[in-house]
Amino acid sequence: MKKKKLLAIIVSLILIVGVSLPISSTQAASLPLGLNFGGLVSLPLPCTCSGNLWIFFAPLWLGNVPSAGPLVYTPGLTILYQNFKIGVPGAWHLGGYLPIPSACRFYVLIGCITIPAYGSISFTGTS
Amino acid sequence: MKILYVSALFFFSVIFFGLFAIIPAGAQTVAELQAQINSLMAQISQLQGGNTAPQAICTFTRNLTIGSRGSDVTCLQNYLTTTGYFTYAGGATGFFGPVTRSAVSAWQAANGITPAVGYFGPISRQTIGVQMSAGTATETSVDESPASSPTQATPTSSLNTSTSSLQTITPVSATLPSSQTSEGFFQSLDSETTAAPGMRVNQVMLFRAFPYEVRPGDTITLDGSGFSKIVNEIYFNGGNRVTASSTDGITMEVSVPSTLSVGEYSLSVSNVLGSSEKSEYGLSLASIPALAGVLESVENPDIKILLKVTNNPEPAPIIESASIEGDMVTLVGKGFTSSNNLFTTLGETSSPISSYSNGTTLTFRVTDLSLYDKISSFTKGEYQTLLWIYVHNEHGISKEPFEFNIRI
Repeated sequence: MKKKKLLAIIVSLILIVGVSLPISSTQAASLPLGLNFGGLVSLPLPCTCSGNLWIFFAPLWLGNVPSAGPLVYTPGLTILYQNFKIGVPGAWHLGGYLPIPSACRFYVLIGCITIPAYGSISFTGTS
Repeated sequence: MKILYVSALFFFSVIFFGLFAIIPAGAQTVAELQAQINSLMAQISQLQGGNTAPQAICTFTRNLTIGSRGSDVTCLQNYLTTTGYFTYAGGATGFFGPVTRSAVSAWQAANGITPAVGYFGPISRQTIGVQMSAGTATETSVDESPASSPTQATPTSSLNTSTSSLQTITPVSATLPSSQTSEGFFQSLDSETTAAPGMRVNQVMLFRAFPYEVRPGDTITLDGSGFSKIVNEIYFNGGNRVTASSTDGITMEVSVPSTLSVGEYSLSVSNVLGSSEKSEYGLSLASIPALAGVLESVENPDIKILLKVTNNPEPAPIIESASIEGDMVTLVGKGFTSSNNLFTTLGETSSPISSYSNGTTLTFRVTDLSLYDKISSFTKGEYQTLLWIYVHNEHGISKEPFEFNIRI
């Protein structure tokens, strides 16, 4: 009985100490990114100033109600998973996005304008 | 005995978990300790030498700025300590932060290096090298601006070798991991330059100037990425240099030189990251096999960020409201002319659109937009989406896109 009590105390102490210690910065930075999305690509458009890709999805799920609209894929920043058909018309995408609307810049005559989007894709897998 | 047993287990568990918590921070602690040791060694060396002149001669093989770390920063801090400019209570740390920048700035001002903004560039490196060798401060007057534009007509630096070495700088922000974590999208606020979300962190980019039409002496707003919070050089057709700083790294207020004559000018920005004329705009998508053959044209346009200097500037068009009936969209605003183009998230208009009602109303069919057919073949009229619209005419492009809901 005493042994059980002792064991319980030890386990409790270890748990208390373990939980109360902060997680390292590396662990914190690896947490999943952004809001969830899913959708079917209808059109990709290259952003001629910013070097990323504006992708129009229809349908696009950002919540429970399907809509249509664009997200931005940025090479080197967006994490890709199989089957790597990013931006290919007819490919389904499922992943996360950050609500950054101004990532795509397109050149028109006198300067680069922002082609707005609902956000920037942080990670995605494709069909 | 039991108490001892429990205490021992508790002690070991603390050590066990403590180790895991400490390991990630260990490298930094060691670096800081090494920097402090170096600092103390330098002070001991100085005391043993029995004079107040700086003894250590450092080799600076790179430019130093906010965020730089290393033994060269430690050496610089030691030198500035012995010369009275670096007064941080903790001594040399090996990290170039705001205190070091202030110290460098004070040292530059005392030695006639301009601009004395705390950026430790080629001229500062050369000057400090001379001082360390001689053991005394020299009185010189030189211009140390960040990277000069390659097309600059009249170089202002007395040391022409500075340009190439400045363009090879890798600021601390460029060393951030660019994938797997949110750090790929956001940067430290401490860095001298800040990239716009999704833009490359190691280059300066200029996106547009607003308004497009201005008088000489007017103030314009530049929109871009990687602007310096300390100093940027802005060139008009490669000359007529002015300097400005940015508070957020992505916008900058600039005064148009009052000496500019009427005409259209191509703008560029230079700073510690290099020149916007040398930056890689455009596409890096060709390496994605899945997109081969998908994108019809991936050629980079000849990007020129233009500004029109005139004695009679007209404002760029503004959209104030929009309505849709069937497929006909009506825009109400200001500054529309007899020939307007539309740029929208459903493509461009195929031909210019005339305004009526004294330049306040434009109408167009949403089905005439260049991407409408491609997108609607997927949507089939089933979905709501946001349509963003810019109007362009001879007086410029509307500053912000106007957005409204449509069904497509």
